[in-house]
Amino acid sequence: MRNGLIFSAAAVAAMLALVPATRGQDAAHPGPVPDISGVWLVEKFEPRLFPNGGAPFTPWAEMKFKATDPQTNDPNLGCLPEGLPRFMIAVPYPMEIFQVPTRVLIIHEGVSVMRQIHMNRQHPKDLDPTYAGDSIGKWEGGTLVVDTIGFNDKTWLDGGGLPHSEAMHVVERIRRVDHDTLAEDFTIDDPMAYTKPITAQQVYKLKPGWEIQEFVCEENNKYNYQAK
Amino acid sequence: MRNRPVPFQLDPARGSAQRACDWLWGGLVENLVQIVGTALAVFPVTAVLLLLSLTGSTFAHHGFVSWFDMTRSTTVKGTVTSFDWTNPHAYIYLDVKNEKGAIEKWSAELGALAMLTRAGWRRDTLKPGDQITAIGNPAKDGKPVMHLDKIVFANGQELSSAL
Repeated sequence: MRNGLIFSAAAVAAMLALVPATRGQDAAHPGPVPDISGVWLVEKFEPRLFPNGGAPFTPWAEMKFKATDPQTNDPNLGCLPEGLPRFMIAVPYPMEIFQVPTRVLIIHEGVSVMRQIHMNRQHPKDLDPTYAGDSIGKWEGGTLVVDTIGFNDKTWLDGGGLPHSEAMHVVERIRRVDHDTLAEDFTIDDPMAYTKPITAQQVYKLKPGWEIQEFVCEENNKYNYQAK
Repeated sequence: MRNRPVPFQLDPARGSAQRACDWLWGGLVENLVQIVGTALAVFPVTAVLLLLSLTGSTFAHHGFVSWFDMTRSTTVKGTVTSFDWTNPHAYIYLDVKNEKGAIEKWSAELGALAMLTRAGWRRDTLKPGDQITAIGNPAKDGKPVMHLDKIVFANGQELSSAL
């Protein structure tokens, strides 16, 4: 995981070095696109999507949810990636967004994940399930619309234990409300786990002068993870 | 490091009942937030005190809500025996003399190093022998462990674990 992060950081640096002049442009639609680059931190940290309960579980998901315990079998206790949408919604560490012509790249400080949002292609067929899934994006006016599929089912939607299946489909709508504020609307559609799509919002604040720092979760992790 | 008490040992007895309590508490806290919100409009001083008491709870990522009682605060005064400047959490280990004169081995969990650094902490902020007061949220299971809110140095200077 550490080597992966180092490799990812090197890859980002290489890409940025190659295309410094075109930053902030969309290759498919030349011309200026909104600049959402920078270091951002969630405005308000709430680990749970449904702090008062009421998630629209299917019977399958309800059974899975009953087996979850944030004290013992949260995958994150074992330093596994939070995955999407959790690391975008419910992690109190900053992320840095980079824009290059073919991609929007997100390096998140809290997890060893570099997220790639592909701006110039469709989802590949027969995706191998992954923690972050496969993200493609397009600009609709001032809003970056990101469509993600190809998830594994090893993550929770939030810190409260909401499960999901490999069929999950996440759509994010990201827009810069003002210079210091990024707002994101999530729609999480997983018919196997939820009887209707779940919607959520998160607001991020710009953190000028911040740099993403190293975070090696395995270094001194005292929490026991009991895989099911 | 190996000889130190591990702050969190898995207790097999904590199962679904414990989880149910956590969720119940979550609901109560939500209702309290609404009631207190109304009260705040009337008592700005309360608002300031409440905000102060709520800071310091934002940086740990590892299920702290389920391990610690975030509605209560505890204060211990003692001697630093070691300071783990490590990810995913930093830890302060303290020898605390209780009312009977016996030494209790306390530990306080902090957040990740990057966030602590932004809040003004450094790897040499504490060293063995330092006398400090640690204020934070106590463990729900009563063990001598806390989720740190802030420390007060012997000279009265304070350092919060939050920004």
